[in-house]
Amino acid sequence: MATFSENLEKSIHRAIALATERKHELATLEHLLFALTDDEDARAVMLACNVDIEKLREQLMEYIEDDLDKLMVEDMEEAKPTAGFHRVVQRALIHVETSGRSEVTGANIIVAIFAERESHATYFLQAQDMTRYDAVNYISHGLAKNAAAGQSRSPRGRG
Amino acid sequence: MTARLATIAAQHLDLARKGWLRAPVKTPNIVIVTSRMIDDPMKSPWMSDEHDEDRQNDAGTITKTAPKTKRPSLYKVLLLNDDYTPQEFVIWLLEVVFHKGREEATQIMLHVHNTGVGICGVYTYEVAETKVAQVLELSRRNEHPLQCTMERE
Repeated sequence: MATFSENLEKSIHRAIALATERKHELATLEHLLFALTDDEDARAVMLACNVDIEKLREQLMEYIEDDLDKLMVEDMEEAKPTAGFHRVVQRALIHVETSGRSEVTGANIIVAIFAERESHATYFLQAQDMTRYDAVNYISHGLAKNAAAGQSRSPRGRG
Repeated sequence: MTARLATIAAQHLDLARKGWLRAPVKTPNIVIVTSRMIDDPMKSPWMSDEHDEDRQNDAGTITKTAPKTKRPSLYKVLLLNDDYTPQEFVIWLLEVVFHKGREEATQIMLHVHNTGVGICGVYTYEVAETKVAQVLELSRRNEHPLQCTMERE
């Protein structure tokens, strides 16, 4: 059974706390992506894919503050993750388990976000020319679009 | 088509050389497509068809525009009428899931009752989908056959 990395666990908590703080009844993928901009593993992937993280944070915050105001509720306890949020985490977990690894990180979550349709989180990443292919290429082989962020990584088997 | 684009490109270059065009010259982004690329033997069955539009024309020259990422659409959440779900339950649902006031909730419920369908709100795909799931779950738990769907705006 794969587990979440400590970083990822903190990021998920940050995403839910961000939504709760803003009295949003639901925690969306945009809250999650915002939290992941502070997650070491997710940041490495985004940087390698030439994403301007500061710009991404600004766009996400603007979206969370302006477009998600419909989610504001007066009396609520804690924001609940949306169906899409659950699905993304589940997708990353299943991927890690089926590839025989033991830890889910923010990097896996970034890849899993790309499978969501009509998502603003994906839209903001795509708007910076990042694709799922860029992400998996970096995670698998350390091949970065941004040459400075490249890493040499040797192939590893499941054992 | 080929000849025309080539002429335009040549004209641009010619003007640029003569120094008549001061602004940076924008030569059309021309991609040559040969007939071999149309039936791409390298294309695997699970490759996306997104780029196939470019290849539908016969061999020749086409201009290619960079694909622009589109902002995601909004979706409306619809409630469908049935003859078994009590009106009070629908009102309660609109208050709990969609945060409507009693008055607005009653209006929407009556609209569904009279016309067969009513809009509960307009949201992003992710939020709309979650609300639909909440409605269906609450209805199922209370054993009412209420149906709820979403539709692109």
